[in-house]
Amino acid sequence: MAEDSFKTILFGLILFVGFSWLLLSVAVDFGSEYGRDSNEIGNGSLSVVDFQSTAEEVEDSASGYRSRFESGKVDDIDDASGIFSVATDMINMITSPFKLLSQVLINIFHVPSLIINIILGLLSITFILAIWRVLRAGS
Amino acid sequence: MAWDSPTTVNMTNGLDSFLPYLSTVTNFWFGRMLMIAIFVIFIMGYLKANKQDYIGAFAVASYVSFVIGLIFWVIGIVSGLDFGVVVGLAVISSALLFTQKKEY
Repeated sequence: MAEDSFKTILFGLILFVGFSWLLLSVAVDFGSEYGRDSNEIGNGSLSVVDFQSTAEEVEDSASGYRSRFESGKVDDIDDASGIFSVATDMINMITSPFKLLSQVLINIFHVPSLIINIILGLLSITFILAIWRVLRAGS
Repeated sequence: MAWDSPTTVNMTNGLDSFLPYLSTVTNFWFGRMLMIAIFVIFIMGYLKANKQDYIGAFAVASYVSFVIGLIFWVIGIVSGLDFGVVVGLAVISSALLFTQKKEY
């Protein structure tokens, strides 16, 4: 039962963040294409600027991640595009759903930062315990 | 407040001129009523087909309202506040839809 609940929460979190990202991106891009400012949505109460900047950061990280692998310099630690940069990008990609979830909670639901940090902390602990469980099962 | 007469509207652009005028004289209530009607029609239609799937009906109605609300917002039939409500509904329905327990 616990495994099923965790799997449901995991898939739900990923799909929820993805769909929320999709909805807001469509609203911002479609609106700007036809001369509408995204600050008009919700008469300014729905601030999508921070969300958009986070989404652009994720996109930049993904592009850098891909270009480093395509350049074939992932093992060159002296170069700026070395293995540490790749590791940083990988960590950024792993944590990007948490960033996007926090942006959705802040900008749409106006949840206080304290509650968001508690939720993200619980999710992080859940993921760490889940990884530990997988390692134990594998060993 | 004195409303503009319909004869003052430049109709050379067709509905692009008329619909914003309609929204102005009705204080965006024309678009709001259309959005509410679309939402209710889709939620009732889905519930007619799947009687127990309330979350699915809510999600389908929210997504349809989001798409139509986006078009209405761009052409000026609904205000940004109304569209913000529709976006919020779509996000809430996504959370309910994806976190409900199901077998993968």
